[in-house]
Amino acid sequence: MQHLSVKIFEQSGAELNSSSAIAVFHRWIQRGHLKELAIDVADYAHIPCGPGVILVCYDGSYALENVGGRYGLQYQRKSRLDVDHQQALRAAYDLAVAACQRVEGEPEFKGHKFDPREFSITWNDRALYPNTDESWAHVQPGVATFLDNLLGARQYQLTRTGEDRRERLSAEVRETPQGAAR
Amino acid sequence: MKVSNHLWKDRLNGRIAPQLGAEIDAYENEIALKKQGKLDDKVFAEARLRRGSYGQRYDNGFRHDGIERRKLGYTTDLTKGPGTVWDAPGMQRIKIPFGGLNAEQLEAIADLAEEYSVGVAHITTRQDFQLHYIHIEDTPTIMRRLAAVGITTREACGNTVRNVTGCPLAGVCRDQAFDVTPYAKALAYFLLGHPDTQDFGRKFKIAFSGCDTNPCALVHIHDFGCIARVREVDGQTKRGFEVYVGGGLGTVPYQAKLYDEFVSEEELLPLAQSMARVFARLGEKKNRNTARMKFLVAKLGMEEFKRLVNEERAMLARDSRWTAYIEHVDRGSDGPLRPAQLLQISATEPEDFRAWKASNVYRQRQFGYATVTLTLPLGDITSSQLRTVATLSRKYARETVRNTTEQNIVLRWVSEKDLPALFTELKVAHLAAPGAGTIVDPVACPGTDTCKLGISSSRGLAGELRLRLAQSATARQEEIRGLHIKVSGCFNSCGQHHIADLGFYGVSRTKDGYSAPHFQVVLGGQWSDNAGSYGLAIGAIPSKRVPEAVDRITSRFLRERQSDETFQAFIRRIGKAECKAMLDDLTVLAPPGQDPGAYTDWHDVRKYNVGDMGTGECAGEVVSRLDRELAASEREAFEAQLAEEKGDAERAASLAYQAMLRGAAALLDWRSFPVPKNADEVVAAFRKEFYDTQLFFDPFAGGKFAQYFFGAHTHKDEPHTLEVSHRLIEEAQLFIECCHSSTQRISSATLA
Repeated sequence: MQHLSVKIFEQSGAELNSSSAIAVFHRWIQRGHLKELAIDVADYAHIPCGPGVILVCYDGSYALENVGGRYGLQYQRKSRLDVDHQQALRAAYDLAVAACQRVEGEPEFKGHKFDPREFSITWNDRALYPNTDESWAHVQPGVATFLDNLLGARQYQLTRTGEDRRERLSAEVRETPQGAAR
Repeated sequence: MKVSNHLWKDRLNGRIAPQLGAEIDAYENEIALKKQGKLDDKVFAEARLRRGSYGQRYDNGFRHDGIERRKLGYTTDLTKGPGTVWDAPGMQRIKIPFGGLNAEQLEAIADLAEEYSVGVAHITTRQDFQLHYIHIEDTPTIMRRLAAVGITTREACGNTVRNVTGCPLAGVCRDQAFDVTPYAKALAYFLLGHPDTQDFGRKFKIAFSGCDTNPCALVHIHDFGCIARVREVDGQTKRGFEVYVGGGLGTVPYQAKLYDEFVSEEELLPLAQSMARVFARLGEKKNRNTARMKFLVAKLGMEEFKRLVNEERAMLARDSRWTAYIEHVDRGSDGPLRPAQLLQISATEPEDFRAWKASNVYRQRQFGYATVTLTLPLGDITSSQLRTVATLSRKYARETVRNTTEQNIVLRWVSEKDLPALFTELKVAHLAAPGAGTIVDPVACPGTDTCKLGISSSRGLAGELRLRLAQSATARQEEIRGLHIKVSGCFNSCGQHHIADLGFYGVSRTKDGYSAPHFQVVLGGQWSDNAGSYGLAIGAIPSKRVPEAVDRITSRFLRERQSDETFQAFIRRIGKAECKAMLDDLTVLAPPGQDPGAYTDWHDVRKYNVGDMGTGECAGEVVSRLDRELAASEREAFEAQLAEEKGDAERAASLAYQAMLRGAAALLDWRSFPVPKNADEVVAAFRKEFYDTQLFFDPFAGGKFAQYFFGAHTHKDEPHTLEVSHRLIEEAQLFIECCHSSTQRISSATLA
C-alpha cells in the first residue's frame, strides 16, 4: 500500500486563509515541528478550489487546500513505506490528524475544527490502483478493517468517490450517527 | 519516488516509438550508473538537462528559513550534478512544440502532475509545461508515460534547440499570411536529436509567426525567427518566410536582425540546419555568457555570418525530410468538430458572459468559429482542470488545444453558437475568468518560488498585482486594460520583462545591513509587432511598493493620454526623467525598524535573506558610503538613458561606461583598496581584486558582469551607434546590480 493521501475536512466551513497557512507552515519549518524533513512552502492559493498552500516534505506533503470546493488538510505520502495495507493507511491518517491538531492550535486558525471522523482517502498511483471496480474490491477489505478499528464496526459510511477511469481511486469516510453517539 | 515505476515500462510496451523508448532506457541506465558512482556529476547533469530534468531552488541541500541558513537533512550524499543533492526535488520541463496538444496528452499531463508533482502543471512563456517537486528517479517513468502519448522531453533544457514556439492562433488568425503550424512542427522534429544540433555552446530558440504585427510568437526575441510571407514568383504564389536571426532577451536583450526577406518553404529546413552547423562550429563554447547565437552574429557581422551559412548550405547532402512534409501543409493543422453557427445575440446576455466574451473570445478567420482563451492564474492549472479541458476539447472541438506564450490555453474551432454552453461548463471548473492577455493577466517566471536564480518573488508580485488590478477601477478602463505586465525574478528575463508595457525584474538592496526585495521597473517595451522594441529599467522599487508604482503609472497615463496615444508613445513623450521622478519617492527603502514588511517578500513571512548578517555600526557606515557611490552610479546609468532618448549615442555610451567605472571604484574603496585616479588603473585594480579573486562573480553568471565593464573600457574610444549605447546601458545597469549583490555576498561571507 503506497502513496496514499488522506484529507481531513474542515468542519466550520470557513475559509482557510492562505496568508495564515504560509505563516504557519514556515514556522513549522523554522521550529522543527515535524519529525520528517520539511523542504519548503509552496503557494498555489491563487488557483480557485486548488491545492492551496503546501508544506513540501521529503516523505510526503501537507496541504491546507480547497480541492472540490471543500476546505481541509491533506497529507500525501510520496516516498516508499514498507508496511502492510492497514499500517500504511494508519500512518497517513495519523500524520494528517496530527497536522490538523497542530493547525487547530495555531493562533491564526483559532476557531477552525478538523473532524478526524470525516475524511477522504486517495490512492495516488494509477499503476497500482486504477480507478476500477477490481481495484476497489481489492482495497476495500483492508480499508474496512482499518475503519472498524478506528471508528467501530458498522459505525461509519465508506463511499467510493466516482468511477471516472481518468480519476484516481478514492473514497470518502463519514462516521454515522450511531458511531457519533458512542 | 513511486514504487510502481517498474510497472510502466511493460505496461506501455508497444505504445512508445522505438527510438523514444531506447532513448529513455539509455537515460534510465545513466541514472543507475550515477547511483553506482560510475558517472561524473557534470556529465550526468548535462544528460538529465537534455532530457528536461532541471534543478530547483534549494537543491544544493541548504535553505534559509528566515532565521538561519540550514542544511536540509537528506540522508544520502549522492548528487545529480555539481552541488545538487540527489533527493532534492527538481523540475521536469515538457516540450510542447508550438503549444499544440490533444485531449489524451492533456490527460497524461494531468495524471503526471497528480501522481509525481503537487497536482498542478505550469505553462511557461515558451509554451512548455513544467512539473515541480519531482524526484529524479521518477523522471524515466514520467518520460515513458509522455512518450506513450507522443510527447518527448528531449532537449527541453540544456544547450539544445529548445521548444519551437508558434502563434497559438496559427491557422485561424485573421491576419496571417498562411498557417505556420506545419512548418513549425516539421522544423521542430527535424532538428530534434539531429547530429548538427548536438554540439552547441548554448541554447537555441526558434519561433514562427503568421504575421508581423501581432505579438503571439515574439519573433524578434529569438535566435531564429520566421514570419510567414507569400510572394509572386513567375506568376505563381509562393510561400516562404522572412527570417530573423540573433535575437534574445537574457541579461542584455538583442533584437533579431533581418537575415533574409524571403526564404522559400523548400529552403527553410536546410537553412536552419546550415545555421545550426555554423553555430555549433563557431559559437562560443567556454564562456557561456557570450555563447548565444546573438553574440556570434554580432561578432561576425551579418554578411560574414551569411557567407558562412551559405557555405554550409552548399555542402549539405540533400535530405528528403526538407520538403517531404510540404505536400501535406494545405490540409490544415486542425479543423472543426461541429457545424459553424453564429451566436444568437440576446438582450439578456449575462454580464459575466459578456465580459468573458469581450476579452477571451477571438473570432476566427473561418466564419462561425471562435478561439477561446482560458485565463490561467500565473500559468497554473490543476490536474482536474486539465481533464476538464480535455473533455471540453472533445465535446466542442476536435481536440484543438494550444498553450500560449502568455501562459494560457486556447481552445480553437469552437462553433460560436456553443459559446454560452462552453462558458457555463468552464465556469464550473473555474476556467472562465475574463481578462486574458490584459493587465489583469500578468506573466511571471517561477522566480524565488522554485528557481535557483530567483532574486525576488516574481509570482508573489504578479499574484498580488492580479488580485489588486481585478478590483481596480483604473484597470477596468479601456486604455489600461490592454496593457501587459511581465515579471521576472531576476535579470535573466524568463518573464520577458523587456517586452512588457510594465516590466519588472527582481533585484535586492540593503539598508542598515538588512536586505530587502526590490524590482527594477522597466518601461517602454513593446509587446506588439512580434516584440518590436525593448524597454529600459528606470529604477529599483521595494517589492511591496510596486503595486503603488503600477497604480501611479497607469493613473497618470489615463489622465494625461493624448487622443489615441499608445502607452509606449506616452512614455516616450513624458520622457524617462519624468517617469523616474514620478516614482522617486517609492524607491526609498525605510529602515527595518520603521517598515519591517519591506524586508520580507510577497507571500513569504521569512526575513529576506538577512538572518546571518550583522548590523555593526562600523559596517553600517561603510555600507552607507558605498551605497552613496552606487546610487551615483545608478544616476549616471539613468542619465545615459536620457542621452539615448535624445539620440546622443556617444554621450549615452560615455555615461554608461562612467557609471560602471564609478561602481568599480566604489567597490575598491569599500574594500579599503587605494582608488587610482586613472581609468586604466581602476580597471586593472578592479580586475586584480574582484575579478581574479572571483569576489565579483555572480553565483550563476560568473564573471559576465565584470566582462561588460572590461569590454566597455576597451572600446570606450570607438564610435558608438544608438544600438550599441543601448546595450551598454543595459550592461551598466547589470554591472551596478552585481556591485550591490556582490557586496551583500562579501559581507555575508565575512560575517559568517
